[in-house]
Amino acid sequence: MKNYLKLLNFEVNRFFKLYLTLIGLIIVSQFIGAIVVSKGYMNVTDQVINKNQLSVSQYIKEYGLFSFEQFVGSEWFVLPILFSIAMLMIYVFFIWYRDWFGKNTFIYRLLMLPTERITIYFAKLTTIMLLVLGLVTLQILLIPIEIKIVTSIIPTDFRSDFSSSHFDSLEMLVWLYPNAFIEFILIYGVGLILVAVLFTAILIERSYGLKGIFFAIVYGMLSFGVFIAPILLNVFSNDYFYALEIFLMLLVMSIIVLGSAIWIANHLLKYKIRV
Amino acid sequence: MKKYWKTILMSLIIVTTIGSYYIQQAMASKNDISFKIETTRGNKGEIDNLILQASYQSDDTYHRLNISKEGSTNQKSGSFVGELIGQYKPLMIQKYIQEHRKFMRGKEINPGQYFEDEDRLIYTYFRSKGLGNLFTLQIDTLDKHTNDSSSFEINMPDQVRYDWITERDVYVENGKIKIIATSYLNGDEELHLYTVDKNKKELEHDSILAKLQLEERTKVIIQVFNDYNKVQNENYILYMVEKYKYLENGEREIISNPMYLYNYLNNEVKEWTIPAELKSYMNSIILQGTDIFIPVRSTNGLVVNRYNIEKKQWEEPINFKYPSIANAKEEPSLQITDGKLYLVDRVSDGHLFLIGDLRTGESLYEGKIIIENKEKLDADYSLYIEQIANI
Repeated sequence: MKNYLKLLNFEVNRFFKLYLTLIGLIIVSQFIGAIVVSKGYMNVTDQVINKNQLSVSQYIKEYGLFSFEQFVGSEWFVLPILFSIAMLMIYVFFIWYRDWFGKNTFIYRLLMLPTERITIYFAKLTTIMLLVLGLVTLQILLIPIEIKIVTSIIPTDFRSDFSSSHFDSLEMLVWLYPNAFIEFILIYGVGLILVAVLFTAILIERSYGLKGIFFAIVYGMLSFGVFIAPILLNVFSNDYFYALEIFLMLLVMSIIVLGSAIWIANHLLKYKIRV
Repeated sequence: MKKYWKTILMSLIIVTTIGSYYIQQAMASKNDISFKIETTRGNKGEIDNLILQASYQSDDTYHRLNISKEGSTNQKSGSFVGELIGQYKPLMIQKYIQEHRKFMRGKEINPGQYFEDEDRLIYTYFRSKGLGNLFTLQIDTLDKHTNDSSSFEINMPDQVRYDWITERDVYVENGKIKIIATSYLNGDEELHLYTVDKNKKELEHDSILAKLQLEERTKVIIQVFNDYNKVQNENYILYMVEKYKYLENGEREIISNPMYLYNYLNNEVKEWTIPAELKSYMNSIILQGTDIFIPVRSTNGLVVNRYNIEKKQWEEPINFKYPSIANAKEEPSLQITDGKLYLVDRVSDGHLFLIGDLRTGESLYEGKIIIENKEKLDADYSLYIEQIANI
């Protein structure tokens, strides 16, 4: 346990500077975006009202109210999120390969640690999840501030009331922030399985070299196949199963996929890994 | 410990933020809109076993809920697990699944494919057979007393090719199963009557009740006015064969729209004309038993015009009086079941719920469906009743 914590802290530390940069980027882009989008809206509104000699209510009737989604849909908001997702996806690979290809093959020292080698795997897995959830948390904290910025620029008459605005009305964020906690667990659980399978695939490649790339791809496809087997089963049996039954089957399959990913990784780290 | 501050701090922030976010979400959903029915007049017993399957809509929210005399329950919406498990189903299909879980496996949820009487539940299904738009007709029968089921499949004739077939009604009598279905091919529409001999397990007849060919710039639609949710035998089917086109200004011009009555008992089709003054209310026509009802909302209530098919004459309209807001953007929700009219309509302080007896013209029950938690009130909300079921 202590070793696990040490390793986890070590991995977090290694990414921390880059992580802070990422966080800074998101904050700056979204805050500037909130200002630019709201100011832009007010400029257009003023122009239209002046040009057509409209009253506020006439304007709203014709052009509608400003909704917070207009900001959330803008590139200022979306791009940093997409960029962060891409960065973290790359880091899923980098977190392993840097230990082989960095200065003085660090993996050698990692594997020599007086602890179960699978601990390294768990520490890296936890690190990725912490980094992802950290950004998820950041967005939850940022939204209220961004609402404040937008409301301070756009007068009440011109905007719909977004005090009640939950994430659920924001199309794109429904997947990142599902409505119920249980769904949150499920979505990020699937994410965890995905990362675990990728990790194991990386270890297969690291254990068998060129041949390993082929094995890794086969392993990845196999895992995916097992995972979606219940859905395929239902399609081919003409919806024979009720939705709840499919859901439970998916749950069982997820546990199998995750379990086998960890088991294979453990085996590889113990006996097969090459330095 | 000090060494680990970054990891510990990160974990703490994550857990508290996400935790409090979801606690907040859970609190907010406790305050979801809830409705209750308040009886104002009549026999309270009328609503004892009723469930109103409704949808609520205001500015930015939409959700489905069930309203009964105990209050309302929100159906989960916007959540994928909720949608996965609680996918929308008509109430009677939900009941079938509860009672005959095994029989209902893999069955479609369109009530037009079902027939039910005291002894049996029959399910019919046109299955497309691979490529080439060929179909087979599958018929499953459940004996409700013994819980035994049987099934057979009929190959449709080879020359019959369609893009798809939508079933509208199933009628069963004397070992014959009659199915009314609309079939589509390249924009053409046909209304078919398929007659199946249940004992010989073969297709006896395939007659075309109406056929519409797609002409240039003309659109066609065949509309059936029978209650979509009725799975018991109904002797008459009323349908309309409409041709229309869109003018350049986007308006719809109707070229022709004759209506026909089909009689299952003697296989006769007769044209039926709707009086000119009721033409604009065509969409609210309901056929029930031997009556065709056309409800019309007026300033002080609802007038139900009725035509008796067997006597071939219009009878005295029935009036249900209530202070309606005739120009409200919401259409009233109407359902006629077993000689009773169920009406939900917008009134100034909520929604009126009225149950009327169509035989006597009396109102049996009057109540109001009102929002329970007033602070959540959005004056612009609308409430639409999809189905009222007697459970």
